[in-house]
Amino acid sequence: MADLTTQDVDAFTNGRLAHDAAQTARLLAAGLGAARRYCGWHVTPPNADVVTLDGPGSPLLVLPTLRLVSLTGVVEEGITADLAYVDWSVRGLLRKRTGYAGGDYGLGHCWTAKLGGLTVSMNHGFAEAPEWQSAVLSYIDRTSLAASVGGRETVGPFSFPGTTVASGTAFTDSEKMLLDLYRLEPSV
Amino acid sequence: MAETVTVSPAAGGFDRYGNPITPGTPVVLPTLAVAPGNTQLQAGEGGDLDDVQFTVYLDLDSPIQDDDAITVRGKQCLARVQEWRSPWTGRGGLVVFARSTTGKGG
Repeated sequence: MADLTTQDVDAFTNGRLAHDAAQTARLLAAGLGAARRYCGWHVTPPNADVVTLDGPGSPLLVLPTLRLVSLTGVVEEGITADLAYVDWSVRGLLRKRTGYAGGDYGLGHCWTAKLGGLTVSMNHGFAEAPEWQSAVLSYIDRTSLAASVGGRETVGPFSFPGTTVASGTAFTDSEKMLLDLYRLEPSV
Repeated sequence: MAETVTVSPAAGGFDRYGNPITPGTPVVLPTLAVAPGNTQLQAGEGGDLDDVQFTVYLDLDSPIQDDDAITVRGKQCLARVQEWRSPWTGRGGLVVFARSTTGKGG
């Protein structure tokens, strides 16, 4: 599934946010940005990425992803690793195998402890993340209304409830619950 | 489960070929609420006057307009439609005054 588009926002809001309006594009970019910042990674769709990480100083390297599609390169303190000696999981965990020749820093098969000492190239991201996209669309729909009127709105005899956001986030409890399925564990 | 009403689009007028326009297919609509209004029953020699009014609240885009026939709680009524729409958000709803009058009393 491709990334969300303004056409998706148009369909979700029954045409209230037109796909060719500049405001829709702005709201979509803000919604995707907020959700990705909350989750700690881009989530979907799969794409190539290069990240620089602080070395953990331990045998286990945790990449900032929940769906590693392929590992294309690891550079540890400037030395390119032989990927034949690196085990990786779909979850984004990396370990060195015996015989790893890219440099052995620290004890045993530990990764370097140097800050910014690792550069990893990878393809990662979920091909399908309908719950996540649904939460983003809900956020866009809600914030586009809230920007005009705030919370509760009364129109003649009709009254529409306001929404409350979960503590410490920009999302409602139901949106947060869906986004949490794709969120990285917060680093300590 | 929401209470429903049945709306039959009004007949009347003529199409571009001069043929009379027939009533549309009745549709059943869920309501947001139905409020009872004034009622009057008056006996008379020429037939009893029975006047019943309802106010029906519908979703904004419900397919109903003025002079459509609407059946509310078994009463065949004539519809008068008010549209409430927020200028800021586009949210709102329809308020339909439905009135059924039969007989003439007196």
